[in-house]
Amino acid sequence: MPDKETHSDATQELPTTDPYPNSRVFTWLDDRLGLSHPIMGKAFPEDDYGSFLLGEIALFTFVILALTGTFLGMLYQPSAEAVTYSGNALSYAGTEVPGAFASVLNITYDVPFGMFIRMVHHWGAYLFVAAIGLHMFRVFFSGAYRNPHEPNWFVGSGLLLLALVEGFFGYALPFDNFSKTATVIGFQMTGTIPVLGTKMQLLLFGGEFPANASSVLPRMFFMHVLLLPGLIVGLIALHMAILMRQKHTEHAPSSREGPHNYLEKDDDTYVAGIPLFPQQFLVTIIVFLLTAATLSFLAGFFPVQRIAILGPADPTSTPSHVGPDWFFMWVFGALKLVPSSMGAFGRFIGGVAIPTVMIGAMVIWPLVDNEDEPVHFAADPLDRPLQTAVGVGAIMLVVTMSIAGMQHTVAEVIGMSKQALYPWLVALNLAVPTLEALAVYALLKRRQARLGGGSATTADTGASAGTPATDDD
Amino acid sequence: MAEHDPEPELDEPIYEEQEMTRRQVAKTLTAVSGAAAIGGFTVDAIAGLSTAGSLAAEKAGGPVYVEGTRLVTEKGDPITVDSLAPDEAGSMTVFPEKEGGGAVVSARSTTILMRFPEGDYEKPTNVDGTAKGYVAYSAVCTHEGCAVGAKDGKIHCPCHQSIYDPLSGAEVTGGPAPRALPQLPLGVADDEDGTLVMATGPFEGPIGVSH
Ligand code: FES
Repeated sequence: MPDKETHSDATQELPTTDPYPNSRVFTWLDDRLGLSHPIMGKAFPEDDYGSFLLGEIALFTFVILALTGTFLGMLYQPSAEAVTYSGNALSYAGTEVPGAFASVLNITYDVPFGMFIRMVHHWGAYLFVAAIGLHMFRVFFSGAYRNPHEPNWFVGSGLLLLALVEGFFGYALPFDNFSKTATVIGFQMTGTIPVLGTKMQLLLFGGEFPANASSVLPRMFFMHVLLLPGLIVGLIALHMAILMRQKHTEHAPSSREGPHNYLEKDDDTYVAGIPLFPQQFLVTIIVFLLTAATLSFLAGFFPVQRIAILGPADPTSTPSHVGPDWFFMWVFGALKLVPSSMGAFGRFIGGVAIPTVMIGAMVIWPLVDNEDEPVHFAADPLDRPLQTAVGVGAIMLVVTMSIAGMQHTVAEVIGMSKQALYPWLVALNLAVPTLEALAVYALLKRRQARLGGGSATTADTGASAGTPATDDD
Repeated sequence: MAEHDPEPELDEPIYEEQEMTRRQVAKTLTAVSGAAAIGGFTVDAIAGLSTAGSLAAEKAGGPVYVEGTRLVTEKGDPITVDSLAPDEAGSMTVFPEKEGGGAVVSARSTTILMRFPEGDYEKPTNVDGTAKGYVAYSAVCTHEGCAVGAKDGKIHCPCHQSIYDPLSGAEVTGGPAPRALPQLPLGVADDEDGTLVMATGPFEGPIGVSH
């Protein structure tokens, strides 16, 4: 609601002009920039779980990705031509490797702090996707996508997709044997799209891969460092503009309990929370520093994607435990689950149709579960059996599909042949998400009946709720 | 409406209506020309970018083997009848020989050569295309184009675990691959380098992924 007023404890108490008369810096800036703009008082919802900070973590991870990416982009060479590597990585010293691979070896083993910054970038990519995913879980389960917030759900979904595509192109750039395989698969999957497939292959990749890697790598590099980040920046700006315009959803009216003295607990004509400046600003700085610290820690102690072990792209071989980054494992699983008997069409089903339907369902969900009246308070997931069951089932499906994606490893760990495992994986994917969703639905319905019954027939349920037998339920 | 109501606002609705119409025309023209400009640039860009790609893509086509192409290792050493032991279901990765020596090493030219006892082959293997127990298939998986490898007498794809049976024409026996690997017909011929294995024609089907 654009016409809604923003109030908060602090802004109500603060004088409207010159809140820091003793700070010469503030006064100097304030005289020139008019810092006492109402935007400084924008209310951020109070949140006992920190779940409202997940979006901020995603934002700061993007900032860190852009900074580390700038460093890497200046040293990387998108070239498939063979060059002689002469650097510290002993197993490749003096050998001919593709230029891209050589430049990443160089960044990793020869440039001071190169390894660290590359690992921060790699972990940053993981955290970026993870934080967006968790942020969307929060929005989904608390019903924060409902009227009037649907537009921001669409923009946010777009950001998730762009983050995934960024991950795909970034994975391709080192041109090691894993990334070559992933790019071949992505290239071939694109080709299964009816009518547009070949056009899109040429547009996105710029030629057959890996045969024309020397024209494909520069295009993927350009998309990874300019086109896609530009789109992401644009969508982030839109995401925040919409958020400013609409205000945050607030926790259920219970968040207004405590020392505050609000007129109406469930009055949605105003927003309660802490102001952007200075309180939320400090929280934000802490979130940024913690994000940077976490990424530095992971990069320092858990280097991932050790390029020297994977080896340079070799068009004639595919490594035996090949797989994509974790956030594409579910698509990799979909490719494996489609049976051979479906022929070439099955490739389209597994690689394009299934992921598109799943992502599409996610995007349009606010139109499926819509409300006529605007809702400004977050819901308790336990009060929404259907939506929570759908969400839990969908997350479980992504998990089971990812397990199917790791078929090779699963088969080795449980000592079964890959062929014998296949029917189990199909069953797992069909049964577990469905059963879990049904179980969640049944449990929450039961809870609702118990609580609802409690208010309707106070005496009956009130009495039985006290007995141990009911507690066990 | 205005005719039946000659009182104060007689001229206003007419004036308003005209103004709105003009404005609407202007808006429509702006929208159309804006869309045409953006659309024109977009079409140009997409056409240009994807054509540049298609020129490059054509280089990858064409047959890999022709009749009489010798099979060589990645280093270019010719394959002789003794390269693999007769009864061990052994395998190796081979390539077509380049004109003037060496190997044509690319994804599409990668070939998997196996040797089984001569009588073991079943339909739909092209038995005439086997020679002295040798059989050769394209190493490009028909699913998404990974490079397959041989293990325990079968051909496996490491990407999505497709399995092909080399004794029955590389038919798919497991996994998502939609069709068999194309077979390369083989023959043997004597040469100054010994008794060599060579192709008697191109692959008997499209290489790798086909739509
Ligand atoms: S590429 Fe071989 S099974 Fe998918």
